[in-house]
Amino acid sequence: MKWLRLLASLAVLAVALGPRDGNGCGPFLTDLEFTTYHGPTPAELAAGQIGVLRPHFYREPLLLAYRTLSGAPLTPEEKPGLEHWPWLRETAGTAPAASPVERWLAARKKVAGAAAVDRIDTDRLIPGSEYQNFTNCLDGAFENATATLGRRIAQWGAADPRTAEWLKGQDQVFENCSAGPKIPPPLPAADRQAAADREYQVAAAAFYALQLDQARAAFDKIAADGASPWHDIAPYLAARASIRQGTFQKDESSLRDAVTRLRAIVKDPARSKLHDSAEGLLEFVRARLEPGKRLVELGAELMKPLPADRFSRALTDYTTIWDRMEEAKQAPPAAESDLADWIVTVQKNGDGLAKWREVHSLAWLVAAVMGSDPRKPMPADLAAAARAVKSDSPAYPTVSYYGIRGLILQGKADDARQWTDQALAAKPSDAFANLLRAERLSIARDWTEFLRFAPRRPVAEGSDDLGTEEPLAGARTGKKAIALDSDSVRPLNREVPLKLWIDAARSDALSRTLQADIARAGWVRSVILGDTAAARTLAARVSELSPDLAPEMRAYLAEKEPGAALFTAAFLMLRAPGLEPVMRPGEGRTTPALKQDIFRDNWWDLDKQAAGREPVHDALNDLYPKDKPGPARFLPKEQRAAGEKEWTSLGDAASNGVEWLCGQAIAWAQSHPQDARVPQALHLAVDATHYGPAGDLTHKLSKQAFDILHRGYPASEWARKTKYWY
Amino acid sequence: MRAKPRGSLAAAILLAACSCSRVPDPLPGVPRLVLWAWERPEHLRFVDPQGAGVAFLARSISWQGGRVASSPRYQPLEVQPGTAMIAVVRLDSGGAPLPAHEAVVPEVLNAAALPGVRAVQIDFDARVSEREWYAGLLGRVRERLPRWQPLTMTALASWCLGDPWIRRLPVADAVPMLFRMGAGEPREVREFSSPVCRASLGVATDEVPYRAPHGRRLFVFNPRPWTADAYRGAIELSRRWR
Repeated sequence: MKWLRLLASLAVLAVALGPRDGNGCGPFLTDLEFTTYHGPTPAELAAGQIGVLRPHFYREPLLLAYRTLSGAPLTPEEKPGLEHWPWLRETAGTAPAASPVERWLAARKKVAGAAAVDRIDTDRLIPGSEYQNFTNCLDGAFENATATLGRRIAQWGAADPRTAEWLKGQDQVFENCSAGPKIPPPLPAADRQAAADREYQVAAAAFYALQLDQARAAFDKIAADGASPWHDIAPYLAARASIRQGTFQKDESSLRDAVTRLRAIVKDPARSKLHDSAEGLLEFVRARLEPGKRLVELGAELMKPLPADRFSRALTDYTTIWDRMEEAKQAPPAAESDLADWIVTVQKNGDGLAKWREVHSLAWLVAAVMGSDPRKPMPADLAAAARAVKSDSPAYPTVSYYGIRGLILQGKADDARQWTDQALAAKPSDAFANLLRAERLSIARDWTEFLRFAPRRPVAEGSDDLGTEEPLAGARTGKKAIALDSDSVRPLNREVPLKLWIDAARSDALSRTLQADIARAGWVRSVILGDTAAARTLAARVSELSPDLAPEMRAYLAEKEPGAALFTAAFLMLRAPGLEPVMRPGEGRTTPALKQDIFRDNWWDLDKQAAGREPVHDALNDLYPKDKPGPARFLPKEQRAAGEKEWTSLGDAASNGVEWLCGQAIAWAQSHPQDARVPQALHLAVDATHYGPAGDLTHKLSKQAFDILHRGYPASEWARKTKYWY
Repeated sequence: MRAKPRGSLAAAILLAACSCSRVPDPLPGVPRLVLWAWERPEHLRFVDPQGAGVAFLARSISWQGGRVASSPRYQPLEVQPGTAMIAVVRLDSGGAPLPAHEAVVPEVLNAAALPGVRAVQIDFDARVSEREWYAGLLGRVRERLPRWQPLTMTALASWCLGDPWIRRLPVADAVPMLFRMGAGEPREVREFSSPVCRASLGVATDEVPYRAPHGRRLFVFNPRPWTADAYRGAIELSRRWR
């Protein structure tokens, strides 16, 4: 009766999980993440770590963290139970195996003369609702039907009229999954087996048609018929009818009726095969009738190792019950459960100090450190306990991160540096290391330290709107994926002078990918700023690091006359929509520099950066004023002033990349109309006004370039290709 | 924009006539403010049916390896009687092979047949390679919807800025989504060149575009379930966009 347990388990899960969350209306693009928002990273979990806890973590990882901090980490047997955690969703890839519905549809084709059925809709509107559905027919129903059909074919044969009649009845049963009612007619009692099957189908059809009184009575009748092959399971299904009635009609008496029926099954040794399933349903009903008590029980159960399926189910039940209580504005049972109390404290970033002083547990030490005011020194006993946590303790990442943050915000930079360097030396996970680097960067003393602590290794990809976080895959892994976060990008763009961009483009502290990115952006920047020496140095570096741009850079370096060099540079930029004078946090533009991006991520618009609208990694808000990440004192005043001046000049000269490039093309066309590159440059300029960011002058410049092209070079292929201005 | 036509008085007169006449509303009977209600509990009884419509996620359809999975709405949705409802059908592609249109069309029609649904909106971030298939799907859905029921779609802002692909789609309205956009999507838009994109705008309560055309029906996304306060904010937003 394995299917029966499965059926019960699925029934409980489907109803207990209730409505599912989801989203519409994309695009929901995923971003690289340097720390996860909802729970530890997959790599941390696999290594038995809980990472740096955050108040916005989901309750599942917080529960697991509490358990780990209490000395009972996740066991290898339990890990498969986590596979459906939202941030560990399986990535798309191979097509899933056939579903039970598909297997049923395939099996029924074996019956001679079976009517064509291509699909079965398993969902039905919730009674009284116009738009909300529930999954009425669960996988177990189709698995049961497939197995029964197999037995009847073996018994009667695929061409036997009894088999055909059985299938006809079963098709009618499943018609009720989404519509109906469609109740099969009873069969004459001459063939006892066929008649008993039909009685069961009649009861099942009523169940799916939500004729629950009739269904329960029909199952009760079958239960009383010792000769029916469905005699054993019928009481269990009658209890399910009561549960549905209680759930849909919010009728407590039906739920209590279900409890009575299920307890009777559990007490009946003759129905031992149903005991597990009945107990599962009892748990579900109790979650409805006594959610607080059930939460306490589940919390206690989850504190010790469990088999994977039990662990997964108990964890899901725990969080589902909590969510339901929250929705109903019922307080979680913090007074009855230390676990619930701890979760509430951590999620509210509450004060755990008194509790820690009372119990002195590692879990409450973590809660107390997380909840302490970072702008005030921690009480001496708490600070000493936090500092005494060993690096191999599961509490170490959290107490270190929050402890260091406190020191930084209290101006104790030397102490913070010492603790950070110590933690970085203790082989932290990537996510923990990224947080430590962010802390260390915020107190960088000079340019060398800035470069040293700027790089971060992505740990996941996520979508804020979908609330999902997934493991990294493909190009987003490995050394090439190491990127900068906004705490280094913002100062780099706005405060760091070109001289240091040149230095960064050769710095061993950065990967070659980052050096190449900086060299390219620095070259564009220096061209716009008119710093020819810097532009030539960076062009040489670009040709070393970016083979795709090397021929173009050599052409640029070959131009000795400044005006010609400027046009050569602009001509290249027109052909390379990925070039821009700024760095970006995270993954940046993923399309090659010489190709247009299908989402129009082409050229640049500094106004967006100036408006501070670049995304800022959430964790950085712990360290900096909102949306203004970046260390304050890593550059001497005069260097910073030079960098700020360059940023202002850049904005004045070329805030909108398309307009600046159009201007260059038009100016060169007017001063050097015989240059063979001019028609193409004008065509590219008009094209850029279509595929790049628009500014106030874009339309005017587009038309101007269009007119010069068509009036000056009407027979050129570039004029023919340019049919519109924008 | 096309190159300027030369000296055609007739064209000028025609142009003037067009500019003076009112373009018919592609979503008649739907208020100028529409709240997007996603797959999360949405209790919208505070929404005045005269003040706002509701575009709710009615069905999610995805495919992988050519196999289609279709799910209806599982979350509660409460509205006042008489609220103008738009059924949103979200498509999520698992890549090639794309499913047969006939495997998807009935699912869309299921959503269209829900009570009070005045229009259907398809939400699909079609890749370039999927556009032909998407256009075909829209055509087949349009053929089988009742004539009175408009078919609309959400659109990347860039689709509406002169991408000829969108012009030939059989939809009454395309809603340019001016939020949660790709890095290169235009955040400042004076006007959308595709006429089908000129009746509506899609914005989010937490991400209002720098500049966008006014006088449009506003579809508003709220990153969390709607509350009376968020609704008031959406009304204010829609007033600003008149």
